Amino acid sequence: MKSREVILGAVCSHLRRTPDSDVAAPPPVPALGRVDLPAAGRLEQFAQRLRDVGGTFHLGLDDGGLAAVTGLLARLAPRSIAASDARAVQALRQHAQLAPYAWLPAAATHEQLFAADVGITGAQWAIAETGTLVLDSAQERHRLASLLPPVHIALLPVSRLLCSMGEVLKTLDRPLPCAATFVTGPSRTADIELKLIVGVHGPRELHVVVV
Amino acid sequence: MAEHLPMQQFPANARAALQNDTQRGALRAAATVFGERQKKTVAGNPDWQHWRSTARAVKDHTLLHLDHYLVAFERQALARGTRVHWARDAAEATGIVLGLVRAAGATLCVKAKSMTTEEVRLNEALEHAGIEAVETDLGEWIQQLAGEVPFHIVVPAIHKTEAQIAALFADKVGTPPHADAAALTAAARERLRQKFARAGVGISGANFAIAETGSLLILENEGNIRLTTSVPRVHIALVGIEKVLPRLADLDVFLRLLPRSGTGQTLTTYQSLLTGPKARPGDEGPDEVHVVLLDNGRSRMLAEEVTRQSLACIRCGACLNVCPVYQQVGGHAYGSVYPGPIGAVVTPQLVPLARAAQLPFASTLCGACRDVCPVAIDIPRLLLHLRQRVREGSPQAPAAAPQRGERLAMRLLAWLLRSPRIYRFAAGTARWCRWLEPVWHHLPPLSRWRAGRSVPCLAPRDFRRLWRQRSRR
Repeated sequence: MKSREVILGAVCSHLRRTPDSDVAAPPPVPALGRVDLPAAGRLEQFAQRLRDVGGTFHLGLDDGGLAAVTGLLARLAPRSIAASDARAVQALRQHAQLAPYAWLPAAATHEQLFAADVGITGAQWAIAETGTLVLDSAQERHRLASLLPPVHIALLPVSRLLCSMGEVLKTLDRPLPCAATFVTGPSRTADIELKLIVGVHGPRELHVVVV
Repeated sequence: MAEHLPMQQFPANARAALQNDTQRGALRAAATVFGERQKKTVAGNPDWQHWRSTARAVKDHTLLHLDHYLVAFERQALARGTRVHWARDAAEATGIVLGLVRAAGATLCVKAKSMTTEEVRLNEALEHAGIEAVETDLGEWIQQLAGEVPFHIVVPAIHKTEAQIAALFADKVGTPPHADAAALTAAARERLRQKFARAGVGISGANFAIAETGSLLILENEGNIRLTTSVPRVHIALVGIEKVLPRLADLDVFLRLLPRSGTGQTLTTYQSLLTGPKARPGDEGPDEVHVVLLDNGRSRMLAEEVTRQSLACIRCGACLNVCPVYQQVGGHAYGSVYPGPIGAVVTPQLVPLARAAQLPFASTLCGACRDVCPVAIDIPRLLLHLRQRVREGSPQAPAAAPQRGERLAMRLLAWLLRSPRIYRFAAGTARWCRWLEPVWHHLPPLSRWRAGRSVPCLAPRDFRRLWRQRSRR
């Protein structure tokens, strides 16, 4: 424990404080960005921002995303699909049209997940202001299914769309999950001559299906 | 701290860099791209100044109560199963990480981009111990393959052309010699996935540590940080003590400022908000999470208000992109892992001042860095403060001998400016000697000074005379 005491002692002495000095109240947290958008406006803004960052927006309000996902899988012809354990995802998987695909179990090994061609997950929250998905690891097993396959399809319940980052930070379940992951568009890099390349370590395609 | 080139020799390093036309071209391109993006996201944003002052107020408050928030962070992190370690200096930090890697039985570590691990030369220490440490950010990996330290805080290999990187990859990775950026990126993805799948330990830094929840927040675009912190059995994060924020809600403003200032994005592709190891054995995520809190000279900066603001830096790199000196000489000339204006103020405070005595002078004091800084750090004021400290010297760093010629010239100037009569006489004489300008511009000492600058010529008539004529009319 010695280094801890040395560092804290140095911090205190340079600040001319003692460990039991008073702590002033931190500055208030202002609400930033627009927080008053109605549901329709939120959805429109989310779709726009998602497209701006290279994601694709689909509406699947009537059929739980069945038509959108069926179309995507027909085009992608995946050899295997990594699926999270979300109820909405499991419901799709049972569907006659989609059942013939090679779906991995929700507890697939790393090796299987690395080899999957498509990952299908839910999302716990979304942010209209930035076109961002929020994945809460305590609610769903989607930490790797959303990351390792080259295509990520996310089913977003329309009721989970919030206006701003500040709202999400307030709304996240406490205690916090081991991982809350914020996803804004497909993986990207511009490390070679600042040329934008999509799909470096994460997915090159991100599809959000609003259900 | 890693020293690519000796930082005492900044002027020589800078002169060498000025001869490198490819590098200067790349720097110009980057400055233009980032300048435009930054303008687009910042100018015309009516909230920018409000965000800046909000963020700075949070940083100031946190730094003034840093002991309190460090202890609070530790308590919350421990409660969530994160193990917290404290490192006074680079040697202790690398020792702790090495011990953890050995205890995990790992021979391969994957690394997410982290300036702090560069600062303590972690890769070197791991390699020395026979442990393979692979950088997984594309730019960092390019630099590692080339055997160089990062050239830029945000875009590490910004100075290399596509052709140079293709040649490097052809040599080290076995890609075709004329592969384009997309093919090179695909090759990196394939090669690094094999590393992710096999690595026993993932090592990262962190952009923010949240005292309220014991969480770390890390921003990125590529996905390699998500892989580093999700796939290996053990995650180790090396975090400077200044990275702590009081509350989760404080992230809102910083997540608005950092991406806009760093890359001109509204938000980077991914943010990982990480709170401890996996809760149940069958869950995803690492079994063990370790946070190493690093001092390494930071606590010293808390003592004075002027130096304390150095610790508010969120490492966005915006000051590099606008700096007229950095734009010409690039990152390596500074000899420190932290280049550019912020490097010129942080480095001399992290290492013994005498070793980095040149860096506070590597600036024109134009103030562009202060204007662009998302947390409003007054870098010019810090540079002047450090210049003064260099000149005054200290027991550890005796004063640099002032140059006699410079001192004489300054004394002469002071005498001249003290009296209007003498000034008028001197200006008149100089103006009368204008026909001699082409001659003495080519004679020392002015010829040497002129090598890198253009000398302003005296106007044929001075302001006083113009003013008199004007008021007569």
